[in-house]
Amino acid sequence: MRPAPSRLALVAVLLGATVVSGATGGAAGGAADDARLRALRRERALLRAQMDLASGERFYLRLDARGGRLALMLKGVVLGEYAVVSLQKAVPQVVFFERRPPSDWDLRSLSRGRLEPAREQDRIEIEAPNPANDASPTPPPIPKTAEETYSVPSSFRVAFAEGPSLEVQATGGGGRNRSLLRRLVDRIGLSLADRAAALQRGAGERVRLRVTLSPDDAAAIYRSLPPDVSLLIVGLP
Amino acid sequence: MSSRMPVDGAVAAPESGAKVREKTAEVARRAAAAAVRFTSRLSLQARLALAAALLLLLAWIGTGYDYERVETREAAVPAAPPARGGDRALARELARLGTERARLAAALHQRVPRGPWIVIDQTHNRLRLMRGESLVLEAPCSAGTGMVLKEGPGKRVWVFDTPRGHFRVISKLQNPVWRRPDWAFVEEGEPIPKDPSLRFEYGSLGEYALYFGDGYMIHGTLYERLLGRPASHGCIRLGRDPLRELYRQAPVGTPIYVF
Repeated sequence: MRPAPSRLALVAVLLGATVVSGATGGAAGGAADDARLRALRRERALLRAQMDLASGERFYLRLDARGGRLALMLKGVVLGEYAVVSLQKAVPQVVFFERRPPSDWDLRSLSRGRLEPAREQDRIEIEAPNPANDASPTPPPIPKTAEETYSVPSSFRVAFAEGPSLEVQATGGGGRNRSLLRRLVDRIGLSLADRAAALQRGAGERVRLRVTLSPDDAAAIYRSLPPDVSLLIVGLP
Repeated sequence: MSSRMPVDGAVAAPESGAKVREKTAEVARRAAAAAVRFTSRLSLQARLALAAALLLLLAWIGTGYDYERVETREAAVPAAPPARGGDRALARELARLGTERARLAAALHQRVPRGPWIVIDQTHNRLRLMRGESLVLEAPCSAGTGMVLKEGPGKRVWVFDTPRGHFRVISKLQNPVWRRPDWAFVEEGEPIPKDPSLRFEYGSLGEYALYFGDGYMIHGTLYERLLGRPASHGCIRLGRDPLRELYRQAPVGTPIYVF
């Protein structure tokens, strides 16, 4: 008995549909696997970088873009943690042309971070009184607290040797202990410095991350950031 | 009598998109014509200068850093379905990566001490005692002043900084006795004694001291009013009650992190 042509057509349609759906399903599954593979490789690279930092003797910052946290760490231990209100990423552009960083720039830790503007430590120098003198030595002045010692700029950067930098801003403009004129001068200075940095040839500053923190957190980081700090960014999309 | 109200003014009907575009184009045409009229009155040099200024303005606007917002608190990468049976190599790679990720994450987690540990913020003069990830105690302290003491021209110089970094409690002392170093005499304008017994001072370090190496200790103070300010010669001064608690809870070997 021969199958009816209509049945043959139905079988052909069903077979075709199965093949097509299998192929598209396979492609979707393959793409998902690739994405998963990339994500895992990325995560592994970042975990290795964290292990390296945690095994070292240097302080480092860990910016968790996904969790919205910035932490100062040493040997894998969080010494201070700050909530990130907002995070922005910037690449330099010259006459509307962007100068993008290499795609894997954020898979390594960044080293030798230095504050800009630098935090100046005003050390008091005391000359020892002469033991031959009978006069009692003058008592040292009451030491100032960190809040009294350092004024915090409305915006500052931690620039790393590899090029990228972390710009820290306080919500509401920060810099509460600076005059309006001083803040205006800061702004103009920053704007000029931005343009100069964007025009810089060579590796230069190809990417900048701007974190906005509460004024107290921004001030705390500026006042207490250890020298030569490293940075690792995790969870950046 | 008619109930209809007189219409005093016509209500403007909303303009259609085409009309708005037409008006905008008209304004642009007029502005361009005005600009041409203006520049035609200028000399060649003035025109060149104007063009250069416009180019510079454009370059200024288009140069700098272009910020884009990065979403924080976004969901973690979702666990994808396992690789298709046909691609076993890929499945193996995914499994291997997953295992390594778990191992690294566990190793990182183990870096946080399980027992007590001490964090000292020497800038803000705060000391915290932690146990695992829980805060046990927080108190104001006094770290080094950062002052510089000069013995005299061409002679010794001391800088009273608290060192930053990772340390451990090496020993613990009750009723510690201070063996005054040279700088303590120099600072007071006193001659440095030849007899070592004249260096010992009783009571000035408080009830307890936790020694963490290189001459540095966490100890008590006679100047509790200065806690919260940098007042020491590099050691960490702590108030009487928190010092008692710290001494009780932090055994020898407790990690200390100073930043």
